[in-house]
Amino acid sequence: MPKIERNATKIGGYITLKRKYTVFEKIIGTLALPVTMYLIMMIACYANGKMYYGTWPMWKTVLVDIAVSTTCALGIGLQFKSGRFDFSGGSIMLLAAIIAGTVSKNNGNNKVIFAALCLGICLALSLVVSLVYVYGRLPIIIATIGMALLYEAITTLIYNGAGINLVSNMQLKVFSSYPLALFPFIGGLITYIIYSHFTITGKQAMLLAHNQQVAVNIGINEKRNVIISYIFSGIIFGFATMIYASQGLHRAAFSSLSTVGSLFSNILPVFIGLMVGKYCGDTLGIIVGATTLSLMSYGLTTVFDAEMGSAISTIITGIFILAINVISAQGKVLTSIFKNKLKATK
Amino acid sequence: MNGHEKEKIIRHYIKSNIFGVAAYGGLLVCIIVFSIVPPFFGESIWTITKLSTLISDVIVMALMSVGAIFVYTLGYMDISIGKQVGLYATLMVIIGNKTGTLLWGILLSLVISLFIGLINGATGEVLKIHPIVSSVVIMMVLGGVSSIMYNNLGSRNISLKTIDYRIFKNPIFMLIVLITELIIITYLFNFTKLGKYAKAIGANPIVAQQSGINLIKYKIICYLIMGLCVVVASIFQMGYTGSASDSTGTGFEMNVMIALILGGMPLSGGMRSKVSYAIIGAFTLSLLNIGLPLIGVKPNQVYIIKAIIFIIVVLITCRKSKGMLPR
Repeated sequence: MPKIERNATKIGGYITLKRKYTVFEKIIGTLALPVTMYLIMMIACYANGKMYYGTWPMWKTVLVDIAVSTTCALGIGLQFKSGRFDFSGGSIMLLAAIIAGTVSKNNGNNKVIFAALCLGICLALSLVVSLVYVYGRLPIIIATIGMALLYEAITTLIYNGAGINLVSNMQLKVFSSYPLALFPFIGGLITYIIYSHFTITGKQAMLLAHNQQVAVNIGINEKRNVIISYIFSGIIFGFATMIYASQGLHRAAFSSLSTVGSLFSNILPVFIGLMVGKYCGDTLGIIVGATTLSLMSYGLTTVFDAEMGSAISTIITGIFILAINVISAQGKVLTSIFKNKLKATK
Repeated sequence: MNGHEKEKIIRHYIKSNIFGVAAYGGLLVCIIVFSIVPPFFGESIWTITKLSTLISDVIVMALMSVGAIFVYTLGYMDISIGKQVGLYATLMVIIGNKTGTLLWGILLSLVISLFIGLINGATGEVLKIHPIVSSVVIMMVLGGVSSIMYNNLGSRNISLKTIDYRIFKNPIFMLIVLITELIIITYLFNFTKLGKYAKAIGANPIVAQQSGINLIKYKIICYLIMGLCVVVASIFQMGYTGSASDSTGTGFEMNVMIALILGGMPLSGGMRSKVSYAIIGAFTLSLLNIGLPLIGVKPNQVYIIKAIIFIIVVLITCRKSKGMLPR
């Protein structure tokens, strides 16, 4: 009889390989990163005489950062975990921000119109991306690059390429301030949870991600699945755009694929989320990732000046991603080395 | 051979060479359109000034795209190219102003590029992570380093003070360098085992490894070659204006990707990869940049025309006709 590991489970005569975690392990695994980051940054700030770290005003700023970062990450993550690397998210948000912001400004800074336009335009643009991908039958990277180029080009044409500036617009800026920033954040979160856990499409998307050929062979309609998934990611991008648009100045994209940068900066919480996801699920994992990075960014810009802090934050984030990916890829190898060493010392 | 057989052969040739046909055809159409239409607007692309502008517009992108062909053949992409160009240009200006020669800046850039190539090429195999992750990390680290450098300099733009850099603005010299790089890369790609192995790894890495190809060694060499070409491109990028700024190189990685896709390069790499795709793509993109304003297209309308052309070209060259949706 083969020896069954402590955490392996036996279901219907088969031993499942998924490791089970105790509640304590789950809590530790989930909170380790943000709590460690919070403590490190607190020590660094207090050592430099910045005693406002950890106060309520700091949390209000960090919460808005977490909100925008998480909603963007959820939109990207929804496609990413289905095996699709989407380059068009940034351009969708920019184009929607410019149209929604300008139309709302011209209509007496109406918040409802602004929110509805953000959602509607992102949904429509996202849907077009999915149709080009599905009916153009192009590789996802090429299809989304093409659409990103097209949407960016439109930003240079509409409203004379003026972009959008809501820096001094106190009525619409509420979406990037506490507490109203929590509305798009919660909206994005609920949409992601509904898609992932309460829709057949979400479940089928997981099957398609794991084995596309088998999933198609058992009768899953891939085209329909992709289109519906893009509708959901469009809604999430819509919520993200509410915060993103009202955060400040957004210029038209006069440099090709300049919006892809926002994709790469917001994909980091997804990486962390997928790694921490084994303890708490990927939704909470992405929030944990966004919280960790927001705390680090806030701490570093507090210790150094804004520009230097941002530069150091970028470098550390880069190294952080590498470490996370290495640990994620080499986790089993590292664990076995650690276990072997423990055995040897015993 | 009767007419029917001839037609069959031509059809088969076009079908099996659709990428090349579409890409070459696109460039040819651009040349014809921009030769015929501009004279109606009182302009011509065939003047010394316009051709010089075309060469200076195409040189940096072509040098990088040709160098990147090995990495794209592996089925990978490097998104740290832009930040590398920015860093190398900055180092060349700073060190050039201190020493009075560009040599030390270029040598330091070469050393850094080799180091980056080593990391990008080896991490994927050794650490079992996707190479795009290591290039994202390098992009972020170089971006941060560059910001710190400009923050310490107290300026966002630096220029060469005493060094004569006119040679880098000479279109003949640009062409000579581009042709030399093209010959070297074509030889390495088509006539050495390096090119054959790169294509084999891109087509199927597992089979390549089973056949005895040392994956780490050849991946590193591919990245090293690209690194060297990026340094050469950085010299011309810096040399054209004799300056560098914190935004130098921004978006270059995407321009390279667009040029390669437009040239017909399959992003999955493999056996269908060709060096000519890089040159065709770079020239097509630059011809559009130079030619469209000559036929009365406003600068902000150029972007949408380029985007539409890009989508049409990829719909012809990259469309998967049947089966599951491509990833």
